[in-house]
Amino acid sequence: MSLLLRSLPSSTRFLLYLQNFEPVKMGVKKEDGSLSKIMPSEEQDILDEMDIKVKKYLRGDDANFEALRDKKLKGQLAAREELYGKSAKAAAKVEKNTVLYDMNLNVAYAKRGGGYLEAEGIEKTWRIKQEAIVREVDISSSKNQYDIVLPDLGPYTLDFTSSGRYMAVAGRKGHLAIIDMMNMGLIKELQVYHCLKLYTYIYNRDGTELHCLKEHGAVSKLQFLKNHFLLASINKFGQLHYQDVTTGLMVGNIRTGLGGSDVMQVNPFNNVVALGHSNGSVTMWKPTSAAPLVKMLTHYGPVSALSFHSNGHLMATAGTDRKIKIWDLRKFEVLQTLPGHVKTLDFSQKGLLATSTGSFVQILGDFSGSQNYSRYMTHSIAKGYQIRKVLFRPYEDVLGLGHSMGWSSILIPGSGEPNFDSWVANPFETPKQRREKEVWSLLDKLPPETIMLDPKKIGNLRPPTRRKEKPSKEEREAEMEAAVADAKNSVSTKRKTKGRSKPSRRAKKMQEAVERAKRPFLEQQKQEEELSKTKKQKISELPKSLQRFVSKKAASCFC
Amino acid sequence: MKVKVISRSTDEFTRERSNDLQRVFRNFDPSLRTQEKAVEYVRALNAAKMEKIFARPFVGAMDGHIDSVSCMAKNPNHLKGIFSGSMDGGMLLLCCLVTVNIRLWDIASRRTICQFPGHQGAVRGLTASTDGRILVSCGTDCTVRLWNVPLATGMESDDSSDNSAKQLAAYVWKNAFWAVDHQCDGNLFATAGAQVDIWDHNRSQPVNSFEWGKDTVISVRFNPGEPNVLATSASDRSIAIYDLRMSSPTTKLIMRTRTNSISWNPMEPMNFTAFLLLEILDNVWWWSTVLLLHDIVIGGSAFCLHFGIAIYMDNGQANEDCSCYSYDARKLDEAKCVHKDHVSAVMDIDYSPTGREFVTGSYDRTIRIFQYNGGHSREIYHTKRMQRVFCVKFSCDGSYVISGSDDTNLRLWKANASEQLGVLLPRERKNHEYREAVKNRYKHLPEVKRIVRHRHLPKPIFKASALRRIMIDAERKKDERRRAHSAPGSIPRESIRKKRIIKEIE
Repeated sequence: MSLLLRSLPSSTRFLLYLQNFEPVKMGVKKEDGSLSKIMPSEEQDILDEMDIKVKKYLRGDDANFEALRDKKLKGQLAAREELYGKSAKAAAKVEKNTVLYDMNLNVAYAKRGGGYLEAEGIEKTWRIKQEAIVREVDISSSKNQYDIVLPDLGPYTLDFTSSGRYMAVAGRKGHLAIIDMMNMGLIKELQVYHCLKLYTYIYNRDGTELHCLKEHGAVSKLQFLKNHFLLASINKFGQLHYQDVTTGLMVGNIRTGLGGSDVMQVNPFNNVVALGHSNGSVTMWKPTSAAPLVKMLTHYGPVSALSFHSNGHLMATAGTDRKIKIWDLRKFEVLQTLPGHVKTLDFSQKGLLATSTGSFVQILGDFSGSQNYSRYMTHSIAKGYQIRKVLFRPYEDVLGLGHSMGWSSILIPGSGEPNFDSWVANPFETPKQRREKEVWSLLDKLPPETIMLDPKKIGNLRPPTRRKEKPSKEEREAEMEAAVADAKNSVSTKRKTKGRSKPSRRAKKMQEAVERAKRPFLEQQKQEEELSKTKKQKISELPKSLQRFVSKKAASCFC
Repeated sequence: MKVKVISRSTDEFTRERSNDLQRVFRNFDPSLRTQEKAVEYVRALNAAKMEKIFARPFVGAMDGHIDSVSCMAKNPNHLKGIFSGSMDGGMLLLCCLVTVNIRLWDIASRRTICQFPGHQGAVRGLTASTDGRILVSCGTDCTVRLWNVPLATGMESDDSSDNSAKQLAAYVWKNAFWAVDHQCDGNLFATAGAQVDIWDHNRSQPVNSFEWGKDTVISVRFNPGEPNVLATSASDRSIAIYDLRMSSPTTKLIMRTRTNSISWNPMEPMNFTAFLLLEILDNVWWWSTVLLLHDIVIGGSAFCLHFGIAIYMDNGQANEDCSCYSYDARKLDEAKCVHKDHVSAVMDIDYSPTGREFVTGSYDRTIRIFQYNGGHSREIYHTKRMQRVFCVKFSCDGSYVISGSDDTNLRLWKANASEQLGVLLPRERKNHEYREAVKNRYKHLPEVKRIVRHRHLPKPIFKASALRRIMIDAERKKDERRRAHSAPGSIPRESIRKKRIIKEIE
């Protein structure tokens, strides 16, 4: 862009500059129209790329001011819209530039490239072994590839904090550990013996038991909604509980009525909890309603695993019918069906999908950009180990595996977000910052009512509801005639066996068809007449002196 | 095979020395921030609640007068100084004491720093010259007195109680005075009484006097932009505009109610001409009118007048109309805006130096702050001990409001109730700005709106406003019925903006 600018006369340069800073929608149109002739294709590409990025930061289309009559409001909204456009542009620019550092504020708007794995020649990415990758990467990254073998207390499951700094692992037989992933230091390890009591317990960092949550019952799966401070659990009777962990209040207690389930996942986009059931359906829930928001049949057979993409538009499900399905959650349609028997699934921050069964892990990736997932990497751990949980570590190119003999970690290049935001999740957080953030996040604690399918709806106007207008008498008659004509046409004039297509029979048949077509219209008419009659009766029941006070509007609709 | 994985060295992301600031990294990707609208909404709600928690507008009271405070004047040259005059003349005359009914206060320490003894009766008008050197006072003892204002530098150190200033001159005249105002950038001042008199500092008699009708003139105010123009209100319910360069008055407006006091708005023009808003407030104890005057100055000689009128009406038993109307000065026949909310007569009105809002003090014992174009007040101030408010002033920096009331006290209020006083750190300021912005963004949502709008009202005011609402509704209903039962068009709809004006005389 800058090269081009220098070659242009100053007046044109100014124009270009202006066009660059116009509200985005207009800018796109103009650039397409007038600038395409001047631009070399490379410049055009850069502009196109920029537009895509700007679109990401715009969070939706511009407001439509056409219908607005208030000029003042129009002006205010237009100014605001322009500001949005500018800020989106600035954000996109930051993303495009390599590293921007603001000395005054000590803030780095860093853009670091993410990881990648590219095959050369006849190589295939899925044939590349972990050992080969470890040989190529730097020492600190190679430390992220390891196996911990603890054969006695397994199978293990694991979870990361949102910044990816800490990991909690839990063995089936009560072995709990918290590990600092930065230096692989063990923060706390404890052995609990009441894991057979089947209650939910809360421990602090020192391993002290703080709470026992008996109301949840025999919980099979737990999820934490960190914006709402809600602990969601599903027990083996199919009851979904939501408990506010700051006040201890049971916010929601919902009977799903679909039996016990151990497939539960929170959609990070809108914090709706999704459950996979043994009848092959997936249901989505919020704490404030007893009925599911969505109930969809995903598989013929029990659902075995479920995961959400971080942008909230994609869901992957796996069933015992040996299929993996990728769903578009905006249309609730299947985008892709892949074969494969899968026990556990996970989406990474950059959209890679890890699937695993037995001791085999497969990573699927979407490289065409059109939500078409294909094989990216594969990995097998030692034979006989049963993988129970796969989980990508946030902000790192690492996949954690919890299995029957301990846990392992492998390198998956290109899975993590390379640029973290210190105010969202900071892997290098100091204890003081953590304390500060805890207070702020408690201040920003969202009420449970904000969980909804479309979280962008908050603060928007409800679209005006159009009342259905009654069809006029002529319209209704025309509709009936059309239906009758249809019915007449549909009666076949084919000759049939002897005696069955006598003219009298054919006439009768025709009449029957016409009557059938007319019936719903006539019935409706009759109903309305009856309704008006009862209303008239009500009026006539009034004493005569009061009848004149019945509103004219009501009276007119009776006749 | 080409491979790269994310690898972060700790040195790069943490500070080098413990004296350094912590490093901050930003990524504005929307997918990292889930439910951002919900978070913003919660923050807006918290901001609204916090605003309510920190809404402590009362700063302090200035106690010293021994009768109700009747008038105040700002010192245009010194931010911390305010003059106040009280009505304690008559009572003390009996005791044969020298009355001290004008005081100069230091707002910061809320103490009297200078006293001006001399008036033998109630002081009705106070004003300071533009340079802040000379104070002019007038009162019911038929005298106009000029005082030398002590210099600002010596003010703070003086602590003794009897630092009284000497008067420069005392001019005795034929009639009692009701109000006085000093010309901007000039040597003249005007007094209101039986007629409007124009005085020079150095002459013992008025240099000019105007009369239009026989009734008493009760308030006078010079236009701050055009020094030769002044507006007056009289007890014959008229508002008159005079030009000193002409021998006769320019315009006169007759209203249904009497105007009590006048104040010009120093508003910036939107087009190339200089706009000034003049505001006139009228009150005859129970009946009051507020009038806003607009004035365009073109060049210096030719100008046309623009007005806005606001009327407050109230009487002891039954109210008719308690709303306030502001007018475009170019069109005197119709109000520009109607400001409603007070439940009793408005006694005084003063514009903020920004011209975007004004403060009114009322006989209903409350102070309200209005937007210059807002139909309802944005703020109401009251305390248990504050009695009828006779005078209000915005401070010269627009951040405080000072009120003088019947209970002999001056009270100091913040103009913005929840504003944090003192020096703000940049991060603090940014936080305030963010809170203000989110609150503004979600102000239309019912929960936020409810919290932001809520004000606690004293019971009498709450009841009076409910009663007023009923009465206005009844009147409107009756009007509608009368209209419905008359021949179409025989009872024209009268705009509420035009209702209070009887006629305009050129």
